[in-house]
Amino acid sequence: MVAERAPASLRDRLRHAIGVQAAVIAATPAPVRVVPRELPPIEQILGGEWRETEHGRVFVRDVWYSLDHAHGSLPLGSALDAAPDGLTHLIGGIEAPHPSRLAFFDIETTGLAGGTGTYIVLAGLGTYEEAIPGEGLAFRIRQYFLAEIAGERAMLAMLAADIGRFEALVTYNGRAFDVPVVEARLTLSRLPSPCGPMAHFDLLHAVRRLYKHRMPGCRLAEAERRLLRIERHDDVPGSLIPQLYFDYVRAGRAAPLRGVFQHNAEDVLSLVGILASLADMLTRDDLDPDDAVAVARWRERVGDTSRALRLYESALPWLEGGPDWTWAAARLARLYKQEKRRDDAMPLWRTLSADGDVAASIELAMHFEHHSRDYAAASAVVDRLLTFAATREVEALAYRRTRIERKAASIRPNSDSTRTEASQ
Amino acid sequence: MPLSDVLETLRMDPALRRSADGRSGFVEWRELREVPARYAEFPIGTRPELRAALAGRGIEQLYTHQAEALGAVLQRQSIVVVTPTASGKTLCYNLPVVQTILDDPDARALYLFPTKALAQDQMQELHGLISAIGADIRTFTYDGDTPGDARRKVREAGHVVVTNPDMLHTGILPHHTKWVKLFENLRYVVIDELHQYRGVFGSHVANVIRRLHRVCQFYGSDPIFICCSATIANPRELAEQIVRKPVLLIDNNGAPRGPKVVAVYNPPIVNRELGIRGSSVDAAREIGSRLLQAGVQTIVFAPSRVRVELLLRYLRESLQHPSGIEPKPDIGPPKVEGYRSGYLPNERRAVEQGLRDGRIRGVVATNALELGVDIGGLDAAVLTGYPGTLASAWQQIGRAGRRHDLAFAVIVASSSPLNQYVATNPDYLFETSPEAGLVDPDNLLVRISHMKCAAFELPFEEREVTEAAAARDRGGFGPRAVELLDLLSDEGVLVKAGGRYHWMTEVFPAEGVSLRSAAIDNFVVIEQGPKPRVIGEVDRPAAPLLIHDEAIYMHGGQQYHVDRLDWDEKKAYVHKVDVDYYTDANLAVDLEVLESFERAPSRGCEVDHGEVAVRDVATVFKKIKLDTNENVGWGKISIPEESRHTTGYWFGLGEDAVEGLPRAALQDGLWGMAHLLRNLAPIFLMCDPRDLQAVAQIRSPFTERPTLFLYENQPGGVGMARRLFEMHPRLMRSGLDLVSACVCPAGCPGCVGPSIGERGTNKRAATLLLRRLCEGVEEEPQISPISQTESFGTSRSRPSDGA
Repeated sequence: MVAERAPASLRDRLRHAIGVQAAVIAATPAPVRVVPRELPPIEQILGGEWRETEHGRVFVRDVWYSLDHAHGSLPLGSALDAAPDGLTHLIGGIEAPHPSRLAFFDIETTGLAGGTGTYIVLAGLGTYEEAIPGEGLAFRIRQYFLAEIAGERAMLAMLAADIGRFEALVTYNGRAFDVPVVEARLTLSRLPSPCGPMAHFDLLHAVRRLYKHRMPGCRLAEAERRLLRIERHDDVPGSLIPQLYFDYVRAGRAAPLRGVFQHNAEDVLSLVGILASLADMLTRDDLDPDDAVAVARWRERVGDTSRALRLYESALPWLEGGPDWTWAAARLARLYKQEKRRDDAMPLWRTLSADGDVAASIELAMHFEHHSRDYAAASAVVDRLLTFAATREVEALAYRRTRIERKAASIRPNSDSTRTEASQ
Repeated sequence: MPLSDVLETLRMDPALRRSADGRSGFVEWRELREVPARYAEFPIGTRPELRAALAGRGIEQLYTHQAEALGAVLQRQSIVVVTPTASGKTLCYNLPVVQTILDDPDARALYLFPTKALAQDQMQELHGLISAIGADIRTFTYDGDTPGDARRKVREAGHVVVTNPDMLHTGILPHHTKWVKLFENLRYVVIDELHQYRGVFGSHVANVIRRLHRVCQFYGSDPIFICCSATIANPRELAEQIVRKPVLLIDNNGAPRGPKVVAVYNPPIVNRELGIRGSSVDAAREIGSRLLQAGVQTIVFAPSRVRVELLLRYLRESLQHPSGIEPKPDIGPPKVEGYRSGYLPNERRAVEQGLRDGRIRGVVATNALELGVDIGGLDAAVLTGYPGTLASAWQQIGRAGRRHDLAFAVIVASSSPLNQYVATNPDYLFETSPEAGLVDPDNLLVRISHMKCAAFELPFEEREVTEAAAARDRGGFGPRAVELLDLLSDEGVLVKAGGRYHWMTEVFPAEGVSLRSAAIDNFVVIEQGPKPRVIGEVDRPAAPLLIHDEAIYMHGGQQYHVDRLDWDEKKAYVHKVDVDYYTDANLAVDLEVLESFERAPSRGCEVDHGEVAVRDVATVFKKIKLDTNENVGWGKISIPEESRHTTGYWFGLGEDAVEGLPRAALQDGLWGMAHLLRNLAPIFLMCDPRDLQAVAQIRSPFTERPTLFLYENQPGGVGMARRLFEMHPRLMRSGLDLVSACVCPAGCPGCVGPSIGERGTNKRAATLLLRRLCEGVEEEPQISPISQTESFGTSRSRPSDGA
């Protein structure tokens, strides 16, 4: 073997093969190896405590908030008062559990790649609890920290047991990320998952449905800015968390993790506010025009046409001249058409068509051709369309115009129009 | 006309028949006798519904090998089945798998095929059997094309998951917690086309299987492996190295075979001075078009994608205007299609179907059709050039074959030394045992890559990788695994805690490890126009040669001009043309020694092996006229160069070896030796000639001497350089023997290559150099027949024993 003759070279070659990671490590500042015992204990640095469990000790930090604690524009208690109808909408039509039965959940991990080699560094679970029995509810965030890799099983067991006390999870992108990661870790530790039978509010899906047109990324930070008026300052970016944790594991540096605990707690608090805010919005009629059209779309999607119509109608006048008017008007016109209220749709189509909207122009042409049988108007619309339509649409438009002209011609010499239809 | 008459006409044709000196034309014409079927009883316990389903498909009895396979597997014995093409190999795994799932609906099986196309093909076969039984056995393919929403269903409900090693490596093992049902109940792992897993690719796959064993152990399963292989020298050894379990060899083939003629055709010498023979492509065209005109369904194998397209075009032309035959406008010429990598899946499916139902009478293919794609048996196979290994040759020959009727296969020799060797020693084909499949699962670089992936999947237990465990444990990672884990920890990839090594970086390691030496990303070829469309794909290594700017890219016999190659976007924009030339690009190779691992003196030189960096730079292309092969122009290629590291063997010539040789003669001699050794070494290494490259440097910056390099084509190497280093004296001696026995006056393609320019010194110089490099050779050249056979059949000891 090569190894016997050139051990140093082998090491270099292997180092080369190890590749990227080695470069990353080299770039991190001074990988000083300090024996963790020489540092102050993490309880002092991070402000939590060790709990003994049947599987070993777990490092946990509890933070309590009163219900009137304001997180952005809403108090934490607001989720408790959320309208059941709004929650039902958010959870996809099934009956929603009472808000006190919800677990607000967010994790920080060693990477976003997923898969079996991604560890949970910190899990934050926010729940309504009685701090002192009989004294009423408060909001508690319990954070489970992977202080020792060998203690992962104990941490997961405690986390799973706590989650299992509740009926539903509230997350942001938890369906695709947090829950699969938790389940993968539990499987690896041969522990059962509590998540299977639980309902799940993945607020990302709701935010995406409502605000895709406004916030392309639909990131949590964007959602909390819009819904809760929160701007985070001195926040640890999520992308730095794995490296901060690796530094802790290798060199025992715990202090920079304070920022990670803070970041995670803020995420959990925002879940409460966003849930409350969305539930509220989905049940009210007196909304900002911006929110009204977003909710109208939601209502439209779930088949609540009359409510959607009302919301669009109320918001449209306020949106004129703004970026949302065009699509909102098009949606409303479509609903009118669906409800056979063509007379209400016509003015919208006319305005949209005048602004160069192809789809509306075609609707207009169809209306003139098939309903009002005003072939001259129909062909004028098509002619105008042909001047700005995209290449791929031209063929269909030209065909349409030929047909309209044929129909127009057939009226005058009193020929058989049904035959023309049939031959198409 | 019956095939026997067609063959008789072909054999006696004045243009093709064996020449008076016996060196050209059909130099071999061997008739293989018909072999009758041998049947065996169904093993006791075979489910009646399985027997009924088989009977419904016309199978009343099993062939001996099928019965033996079924019996062994049901006794929980891992097996490797080695029988020829079209011997009903598929049933050897489908029967036990289906039987087991019928007995226990929770049982699961994993099928691995080397390509997606094969996976699709075998799925259909299995579906057929299952629907005949009417059982609820769900089979799914799981590969890069499986849509996201279907994946969950595959993971949870699939009884049989059909995939490829690459997907197992990046898509399944790193996410094993989503596959709990599969891994907890995994009873069988089927590895078809096992012989494909040789060299670096095979070493990677062996390590993927190590990881599979670890994951199975975690979930408490211990699957049986069912492997199928083409004929190679060491199927059992290769299987055991890949699956890491004792394996029973089943080669008791009971399938019948009709009579078959296997011929070798050597094109006539067209330039006696230079020893140049006629082109094998022209000869294959001639033989192929005669067979097709006579209505014989024929497959023509070509050695490269460009040759496939050239032959396709030539054959269509020949059939459009058949010489001496009145065209029959009412019927039209027989339909001929191409088949190679780079064709789109639907094109391939159409060709396969057309061949099965007989509408397509001829197909020109690369070795893509060497694999087990089901096209039924054809009447004739024409191999354009000896494909480099006996295993490949017999697989290609096996494409021609019916259960009972006569079939024909011919190897048309090219002018390469290996081909000429086969043409002058046809017995080699019939009497030599085929090549061994070599893998080196303990190759350090391959192994450490997979140890990273394995650590990602499950933390390594310290006790799992001790030396004792490595020897005993299937999921063990070979000798010195603990040191490698410690190295990975030092480098910050793993963290050791509580006796376990944990993966501790953000990276998803499987993504950075490719099982195949060639990058698997493809370039797409887009025909421009009002409706741009993708007409084909080209893999990355071939892109600089096939779709550079101004190249003529051929697809399905149609020529396209490459208007622009967008290297970063991996797209080539082309438009249809009809021109009378094709393009052929040259690859310039720049080689640099990075490090010598070992050096030893030998006669007249110092021999090294070590790590080299190779830069392949496509610099110029030639425009070559169709039919005449005249050079009608050239152009430059500008493409970013790419460097890869591999291992090489080299020897720098000493003063005594080069003494008295003028510089020009020395150069000729070096190049002559390079040509010779590059083509000779594969016979000793049992590899494909394309696995090795040779470079001669008149004064190497590293050795500061005239130096000859042989290096491995696969990044990182598989240890062939080291073997060459060890066998250097024997290699020199065999080279000298070969060049001395060659009758050409001044070099020919069969020995040191055609002589260069007017000097004609290459053969003399190479002979002189070789004589000075051989131990115990003095004045007179020693003439002895080269012993080819002795290098075959040797095999390396298993690493777990040898370490």
